[in-house]
Amino acid sequence: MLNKMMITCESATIFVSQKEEHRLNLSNRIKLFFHLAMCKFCRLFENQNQFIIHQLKHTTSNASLSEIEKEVLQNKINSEMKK
Amino acid sequence: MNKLQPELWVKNYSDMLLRFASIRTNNDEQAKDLVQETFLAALRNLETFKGDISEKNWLYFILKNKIIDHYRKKASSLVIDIENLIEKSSDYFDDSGHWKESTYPKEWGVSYSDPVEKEEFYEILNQCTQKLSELIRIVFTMKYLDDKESEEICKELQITSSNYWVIIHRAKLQIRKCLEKNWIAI
Repeated sequence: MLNKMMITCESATIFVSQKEEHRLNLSNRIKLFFHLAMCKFCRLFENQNQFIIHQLKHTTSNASLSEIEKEVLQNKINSEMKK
Repeated sequence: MNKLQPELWVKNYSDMLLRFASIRTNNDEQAKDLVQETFLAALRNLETFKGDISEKNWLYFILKNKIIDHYRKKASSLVIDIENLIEKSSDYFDDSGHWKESTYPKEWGVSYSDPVEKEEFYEILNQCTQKLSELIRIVFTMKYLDDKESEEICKELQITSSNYWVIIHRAKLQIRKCLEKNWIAI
């Protein structure tokens, strides 16, 4: 009985993502719950991933077009408009 | 009623659109091409603009579609990599499925619920994301930057749902490890 409840860390870390997307069935949710209660590494994995995903939304880029690139691009648009 | 002013597009929107595309393609030159294609496609489809959304949102809409096309093209040549990914789970787990000692997640000593104040963190996060192989990066970006449903991602990129989970799993393992190595060590 207990053996049936045990999952590996590899499975647990996959289940974490499936749970996050509400794609984990009840039986696996229970298995994950018990696994996380016992395994600090997988708990860290889950917390740190939520943290990463949350931070990801704050990623920015500082890419920009040079003045010359802008001029070339606008000229292209203008000549396209005249067609 | 909103109006279009193509003569001001570059001035008003090019950098904004470029940054949006750059984060998503991980390649500034590619992003520039996509922005140009967006403007030209917009010009060819002026009649589809009904004025019910802003000019800016309309251009974003076109760019988003261009980015998805770009992903789709890239992914079709990359799906073959998935087999390699499955094998590589041995980088992190031993034969019995437990964390290898060398990859035990470590406590980071930060509050996981707060945003990070340091600029440096985002640079490292960005570098870690860029290190993902292309297909993994695309799936990860679609999921976590654009909040797409997994079904939609699978459909767009022509991957199976089980491959989707392998890819997401791999992405998370890799980024977590990379951040731990490069950021926490600072």
